[in-house]
Amino acid sequence: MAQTATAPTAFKILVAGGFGAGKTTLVSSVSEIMPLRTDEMLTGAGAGTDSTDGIEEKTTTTVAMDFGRITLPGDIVLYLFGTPGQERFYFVWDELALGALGAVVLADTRRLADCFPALDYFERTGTPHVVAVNRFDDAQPFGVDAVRKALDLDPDVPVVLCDARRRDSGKAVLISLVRHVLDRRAPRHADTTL
Amino acid sequence: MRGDAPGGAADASAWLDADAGPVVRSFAITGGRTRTDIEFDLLTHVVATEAGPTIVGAMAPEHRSIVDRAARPVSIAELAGHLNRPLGVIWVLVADLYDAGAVSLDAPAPSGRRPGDSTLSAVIDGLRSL
Repeated sequence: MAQTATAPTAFKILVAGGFGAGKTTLVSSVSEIMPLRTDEMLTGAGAGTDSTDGIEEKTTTTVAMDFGRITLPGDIVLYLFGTPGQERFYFVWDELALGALGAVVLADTRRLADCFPALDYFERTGTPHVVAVNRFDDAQPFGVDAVRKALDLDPDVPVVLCDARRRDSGKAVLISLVRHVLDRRAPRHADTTL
Repeated sequence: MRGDAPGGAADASAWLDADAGPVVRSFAITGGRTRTDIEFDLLTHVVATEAGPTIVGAMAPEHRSIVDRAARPVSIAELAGHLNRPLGVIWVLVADLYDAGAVSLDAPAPSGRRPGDSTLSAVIDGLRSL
């Protein structure tokens, strides 16, 4: 449709996890641009699950999403979106998850339960995801297996350790996600060439 | 008409109640419109047409900012980030520009929805080489 230039092949990757799990840190460390912020308006329909329900429908809030960008050879661009944390913002998640390549769920071992909503969401929507255990200095070291067990993950969901502040580490998380996307489709499409 | 100056004072005032914050004022730019008849994706890329800069000369400053940014393909998400406006506002403004022939749109290709294995391998190789 574009006449004057060709748009790149663009992919969306979601970065989810509890508050303070390092979503923005991860986006910042791997992005080639300063992370940008977009706002989505929380409308009456979206506010249905808000705890202010029943008080006044007209309440207006915005949901902020931080995102970054990685340009790769071959005119490929990855967009990383940090997902808004609260469950009442799930309507934004629907928009984000639509057509997303996959998701990274950041886990903080001090508050593992905080990533349950994200895991539930991605399992329910069939969005390929990996769990990245962000290593915080004051957290007790957890093994990958312990985290997998505590989160009751499907056996095929990769769990990786990471330091969201480090670009190399963030890149490794993204690579494990894309590889997981490839692995997931392999058995189902063994006899088809895409 | 979409191309007309955004809504009248009566339309705008409907948004400016006691709860109105910056976002509501953003939608006053669009004449209160929050929906468009074009299906947008966050990654839809906007690019100015050749006639775009001329066409937009008669439009609002917000429209002009978008056409300036869209000299090269730019995603809806980036426009929202750079122009510091909610996505819904950007969508409405871009729809205006599209209807006026000032921009063309490039939605993520179906192949982007389900990329081939070779594209995914290229993503992995590309990430490794960064």
